[in-house]
Amino acid sequence: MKSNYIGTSAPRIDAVEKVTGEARFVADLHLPGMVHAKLVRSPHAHARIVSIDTNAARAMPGVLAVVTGADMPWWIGECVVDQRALAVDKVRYPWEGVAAVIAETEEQAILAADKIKVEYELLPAVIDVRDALKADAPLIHPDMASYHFVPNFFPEHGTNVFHHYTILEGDAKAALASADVVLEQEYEFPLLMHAQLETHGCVARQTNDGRFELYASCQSPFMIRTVLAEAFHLPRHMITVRAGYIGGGFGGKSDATIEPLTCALARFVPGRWVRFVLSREENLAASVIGRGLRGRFRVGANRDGKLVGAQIDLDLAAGAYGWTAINIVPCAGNTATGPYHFPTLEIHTRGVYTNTAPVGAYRGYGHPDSQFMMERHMDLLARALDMDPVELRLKNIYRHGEKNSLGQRIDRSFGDLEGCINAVAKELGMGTGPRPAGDPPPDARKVRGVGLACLMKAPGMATNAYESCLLKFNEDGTVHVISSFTDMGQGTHTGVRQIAADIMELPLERVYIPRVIDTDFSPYDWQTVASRSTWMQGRAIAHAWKRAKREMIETCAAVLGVEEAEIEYENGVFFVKDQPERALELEQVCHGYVHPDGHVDGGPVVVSGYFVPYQTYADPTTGQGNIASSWTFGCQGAEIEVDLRTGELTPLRIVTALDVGRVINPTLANIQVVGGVVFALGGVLSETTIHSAAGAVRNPTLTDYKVPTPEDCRDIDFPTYLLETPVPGDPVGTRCIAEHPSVAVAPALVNALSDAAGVEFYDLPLSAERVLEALTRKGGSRA
Amino acid sequence: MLRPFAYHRPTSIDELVELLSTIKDSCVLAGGTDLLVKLREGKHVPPAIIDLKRIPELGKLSREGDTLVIGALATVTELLEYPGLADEPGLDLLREAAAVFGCLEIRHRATICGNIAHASPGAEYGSCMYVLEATVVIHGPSGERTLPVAEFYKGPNWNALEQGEFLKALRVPIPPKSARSSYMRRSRVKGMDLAGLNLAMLVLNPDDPAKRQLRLAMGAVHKVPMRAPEVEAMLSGRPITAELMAEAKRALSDSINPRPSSLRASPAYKKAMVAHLAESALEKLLPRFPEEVAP
Repeated sequence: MKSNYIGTSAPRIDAVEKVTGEARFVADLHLPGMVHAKLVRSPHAHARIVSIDTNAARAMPGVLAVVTGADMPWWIGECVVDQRALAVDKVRYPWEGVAAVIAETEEQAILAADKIKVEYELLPAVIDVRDALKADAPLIHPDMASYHFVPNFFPEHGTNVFHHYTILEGDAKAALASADVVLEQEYEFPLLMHAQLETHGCVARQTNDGRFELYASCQSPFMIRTVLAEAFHLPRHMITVRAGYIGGGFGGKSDATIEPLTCALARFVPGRWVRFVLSREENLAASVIGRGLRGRFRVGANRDGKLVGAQIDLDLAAGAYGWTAINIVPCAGNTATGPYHFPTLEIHTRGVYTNTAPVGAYRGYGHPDSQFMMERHMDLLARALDMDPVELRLKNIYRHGEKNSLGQRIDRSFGDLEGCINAVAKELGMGTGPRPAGDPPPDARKVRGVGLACLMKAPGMATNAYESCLLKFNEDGTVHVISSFTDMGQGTHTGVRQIAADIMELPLERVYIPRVIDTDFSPYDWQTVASRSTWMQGRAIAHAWKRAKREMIETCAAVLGVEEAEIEYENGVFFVKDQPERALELEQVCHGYVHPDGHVDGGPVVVSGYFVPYQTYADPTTGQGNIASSWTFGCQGAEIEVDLRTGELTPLRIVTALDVGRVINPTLANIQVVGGVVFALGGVLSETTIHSAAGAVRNPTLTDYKVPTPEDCRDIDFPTYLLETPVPGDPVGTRCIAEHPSVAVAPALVNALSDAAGVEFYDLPLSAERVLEALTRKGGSRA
Repeated sequence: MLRPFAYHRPTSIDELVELLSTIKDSCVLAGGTDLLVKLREGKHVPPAIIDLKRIPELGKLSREGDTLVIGALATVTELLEYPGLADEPGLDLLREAAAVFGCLEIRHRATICGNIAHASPGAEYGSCMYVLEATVVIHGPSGERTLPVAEFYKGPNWNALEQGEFLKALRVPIPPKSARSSYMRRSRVKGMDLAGLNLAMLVLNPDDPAKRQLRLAMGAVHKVPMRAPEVEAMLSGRPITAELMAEAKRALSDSINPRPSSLRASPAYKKAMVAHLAESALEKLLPRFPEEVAP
């Protein structure tokens, strides 16, 4: 395959429209006759709904409908169907919707919602997953046994555990019993919020023939269609989902969130568009949130550093509803090993109901949570073995076809992890015995340190998670490449255009990528998640192009009067083999060839293509199977400075090395790495979800949920190494990269803090206050 | 989303006082950077908002001899850019506070008087005005009255204004040219954030330990900004040795008893950080620090 454009930094195709404001988002939509929805939300984390008085609200001006959960019999979910559009009988998390008002104006809806009186009877709330697992814990879903679960998920009825995923390989218990060193430690990765710039928004209506039409700020329009079809028992063609520009997703918009509710509300005002856009506070507190994993690691090694086995217990505090979290459970579990070969394994990962907002996808999808723990554990184990942490890692990584936790054999063709580790170690002066002294911190009351951590991630996908595309050729030889992945800032539209131009050997200017998706016209796409779009879309285009070329060659053969096998193609020209003068331009045949007398051969070429990798279901007992289809390996490291008087941790350098197979667009790849690092950095330094003892969210505002600001990042250096080990058998040859820069930032920084100041963290955040507290406890503070 | 309220835009002080006297619980709007946040929360919906910006008599910034007069409409940006302010080291703290106040957009709108009138315990200008011993000019139905700023603050978001009154100006005594001052704070991120705690310091005669007078005030450590008279006395009129500083830091930490419910900093962290900020300020303001007694 040629690479005229792959590997070049083509400018972002959506930059100008976003900077000028030409791009319109869901909240910008004003449709004729549009009405507005507003919710009454629970102030309590767990409470029985005793009564809801809606009479005063119904009498308010402009009110069209007042709806409660009991008015809406529809069930929502995928894999496990456990949620209702609004709470019924009881609320399970603070800010859960209890009643809704639809009114002519947003102001009328708010004023009417103020008049709804809800009486609650408090129930004990469980926020900490350990409390939710106690034998006498309040059951958040007492009716779980009646829920629909698809096969291969294992709820433990009579408890709060809605899925227990197990990985078994050999006899880990026996291996640890005879290991030279066994290290045991507990860890926690706390709950975080997505804090997208654009809040969730949906505008939906039900037409007179019972169809739903909606505009949504969503990552995955076809997944929304699936959830709606199942909730409302509608055929797919009765639902039209439209998606366009998205102001940030980070996983929070990958599952359906407010869309089923907006459609349910639209049924109460048939024919009218219902607009429902979350406020900033609702977006933070009432939509899906992320992470929330506790882990207990027991790892055994021989004196020489060879790992012999691990027993790992992970518990995901999944929040009030399980369906958006249930697939995070296996992803956290099967990557808890990190990229290290363990001859024996016993990993139990449980998804547990708790009384917080539901946990959903959050850039990394379980991988950063469990690998945070393993990468901390590797540093602690290295110390127990009196070994260099880099050396310990290099000794145990997969490279020669060792089996991973899923039983897949991983060799160097999956990527050069050793090269990534060496690049980061070299950048930070690690792994080569005692570090060179380097420049001392300018202030004696500050200390510096370095740390690194490996990472691996594969898409967590269904086996039939198709990616597809349509190539629609135009009269002038330009082509629409129509796909249904969403670009929420990753740059996928730009990168895919480069890939498409190279696959078709056409100038970039002749390839157009529409920004808007409409499930009536756009081809199926499972979801824009799992860092999959660029990787899979290239393969889908290659498949479609093969079909398109065949169709055009058929026309060429008819026009030129030769066998189809005689026709070759290069750079937009079809020609007869060895007779380049007998040629037709692509634009002469891609829309039918018009002969001099006016009759035609062929017609407008519109072809589809698809791609899905080989995957199988996991074995229900051992958890093993080909459930991860494309691994990307890498390493991240950090150099930090700690102010011993204030506890303030300042990253100086955060290094990332990933083996991405092939870089499509160097500028965008680098931006994606830096963006991913900064995203993760927030959760390490300043972002934290604060719950009161009763379970209320105390910081549902950007005033107190602190995402990093430009001032926090501008002095950090972000060296990036993108290795390009070819992907066997892949014409495009790129690996997934989008979530990966967020995976190992936390353990790299915590390991660096340990190196700098000798304080050990097993959880997050590393706020100045918590670091100073640790320093004071250790006696190292000079405040 | 804002709940409905009446909106008035008087064009004279008389008209303003008339509105304030007749509409109970009405709120005054200048920059709105605190008020709109409060309105949006919807907890308290005032019956009327009265906008000050069309009253030409409400001035901006002026200098009257040794007094800086900060009018009700003077914004943080205008203070930062006020000619001659950079030549008054005793007022450096005002510019340092401005530099970390919200963000650029907020500084363009927010007013200094609004920052004081809102009476937030952690407001940037609360501790500054406490150490500068500013006077608050209050205007009401019976004319003008003045109060020391420390008497203006009654509690969190609670000031000494009676019905019909508004905060017309702040009168800030300009310290002698030899004075030095600084404003410091701790926040959770380096960019826009509210102070977890802050400290303002003014040192008169900084270069002469015997004649030195030190004032310091802290924000977000108590219901209202707070001076530390005992520590000020300890650090005034004598050389500040390492030993004395250690003692002063302990005393300063012990002088505060912050509530544990803050989302922005714990009591333990505030206690440690007021001491640290005091030390950092002295390090910056004194020619030599710590000062050892001559043998």
